[in-house]
Amino acid sequence: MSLDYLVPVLVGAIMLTGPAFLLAVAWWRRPAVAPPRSIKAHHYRPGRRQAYSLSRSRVQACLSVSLFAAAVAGLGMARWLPLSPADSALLATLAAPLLWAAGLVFLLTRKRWRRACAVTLVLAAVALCFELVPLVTG
Amino acid sequence: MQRDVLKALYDVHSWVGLFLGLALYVLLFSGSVALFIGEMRPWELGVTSTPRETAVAALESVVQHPQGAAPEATHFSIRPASGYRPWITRETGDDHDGDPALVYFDPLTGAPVTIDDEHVVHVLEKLHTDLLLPAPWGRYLTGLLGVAMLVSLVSGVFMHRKILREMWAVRIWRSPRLKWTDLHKLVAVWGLPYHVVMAFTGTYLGLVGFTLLLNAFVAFGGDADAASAGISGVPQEAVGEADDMLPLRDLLARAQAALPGLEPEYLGYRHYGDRGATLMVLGHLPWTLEYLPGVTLSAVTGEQLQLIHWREESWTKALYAMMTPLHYGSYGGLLLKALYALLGLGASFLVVSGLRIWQLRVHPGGGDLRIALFNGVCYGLPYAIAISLSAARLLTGPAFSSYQGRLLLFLFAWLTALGIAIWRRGDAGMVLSLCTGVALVLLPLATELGDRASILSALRTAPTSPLAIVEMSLALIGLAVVLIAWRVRRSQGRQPFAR
Repeated sequence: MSLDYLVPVLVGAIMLTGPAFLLAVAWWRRPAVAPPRSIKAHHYRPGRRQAYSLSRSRVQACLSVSLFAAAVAGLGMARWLPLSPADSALLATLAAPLLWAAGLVFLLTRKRWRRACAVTLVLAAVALCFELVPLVTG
Repeated sequence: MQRDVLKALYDVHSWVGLFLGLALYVLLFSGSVALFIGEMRPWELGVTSTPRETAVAALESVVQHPQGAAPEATHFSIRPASGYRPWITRETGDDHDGDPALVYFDPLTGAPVTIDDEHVVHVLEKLHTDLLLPAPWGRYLTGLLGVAMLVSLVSGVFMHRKILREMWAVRIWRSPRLKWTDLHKLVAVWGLPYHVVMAFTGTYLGLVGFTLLLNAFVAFGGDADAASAGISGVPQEAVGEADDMLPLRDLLARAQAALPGLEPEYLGYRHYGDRGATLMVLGHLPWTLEYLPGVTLSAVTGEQLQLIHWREESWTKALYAMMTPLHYGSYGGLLLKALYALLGLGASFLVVSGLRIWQLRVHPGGGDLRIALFNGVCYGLPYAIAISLSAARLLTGPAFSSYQGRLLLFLFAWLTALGIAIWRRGDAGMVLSLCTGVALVLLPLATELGDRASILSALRTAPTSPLAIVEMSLALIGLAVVLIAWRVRRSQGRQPFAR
């Protein structure tokens, strides 16, 4: 049996048994009488405000800019990585979604997100020109 | 890390969970079910025969069988019988264009047999792969949801600075909010490797149809033909002269000599009868993470034209070939699939617990319509699946003999669950869970009452058949759901603080 199979099984078993063990310990140490609720849930924190504190325009802008930047980065990898064309294309296909997710989190968490989006957009547009112009002109 | 950044990470995590949480839940829960599609297909068809090998002589006769729908077809593929599909399938279609014609054969004699389609399983499969939307848009949407899951994972990891300490914190006897928060972090942190792999491979599988084409086009300098040849190989052209084909037995022996240990799953002929005819033998190598390695041979001379063994070619190709088996857990046995399913249920729990935390913060009363929607989707999905499985046995009329009929029934059951969630806002989850469990427990009875199979005779004559194993497993899952729901109901009755 190869390690291909054994390693995921072992890692998966650890991922399952860890929480199961902790839950069993918590269950074992449960109090004889359930304590009363100490904090009223609706007094805790303004969850609604937290959840909606990202404006729709901010999400839309960051989403579209990060998608564009990830696509351009993927195309750049496909074109310029020092690998064979097939390998470059495959690697770019694998990396682009990760870049998109990381880029989206990065842009959304910037305090000056408009400036960050604008800079990213300009850089991606310039890179795209460098990538596509040679293709178009042959 | 600055406080502003932490707050922003928290906002991003909440935003993804609140706006896409329910869709992610559907994707993750249905993924745990979709892992067992291969096992559930013969269950739906009521297959009681135990797994058996395909006779090579039967395959030979299938190759020579005149295809009823397209007698002149020179491109066709054959799938040998497997443990869960005990019949040979011959598919005719020019490179999968249009609707393929499927004909089934006995694996020992090679005689044609009649096999029904499995529509309920198809609905469950499409729910995960395409969210029941038309292709390819549904597939792209699942890819985008995979990106959302990645975003949630990245933001979740970075905002929890005490991740190692939180791995060990479980305070399930404190306030409900603290209990759900601790459980959310516990399952998230311990299952992190699985969640990352699933999100990454799911995103890749959802978007690859579009992104690989684009990237290959650019990588090959805009030459579409070179890109196609570079990724999938150069197809052999027909010569235009008739020639004798080598026996399939010889060709299979050559394929297995080229790739020792190969278990053929797909035999694809092109230009059959022509001097340029080829046979592509794809299959799997046991215990290895590689999607369908194989060999392409000349069907006339047996010469090896191409070896499809990406694992040995380059690390990028090896990585690429890992994606599908990694996502579906198809490189191991049932043990690995069961592990995947449990971890997948853990990932679904993350969405449920995240939304529950939000609910306890914002709407502790439980009377909001959005909470009814949450209950209707989360508890309604297993309910709709259980009802569909029962209906596969009991409702076999003409209205349900198509994919559309089964799809409408599934959606109707889910809408019913939404109605129950709105009607019984206080205990909708409990009611729906009990209904789900009861439907699964009564599944053997439904099978006995239906006209497709008899579980009693299957248990007597073939206790290891797919029908008996899947049916008993589903009934046991149903029993566990009923017991858990019943116990939670009793404990809620005793603990006024719990909700």
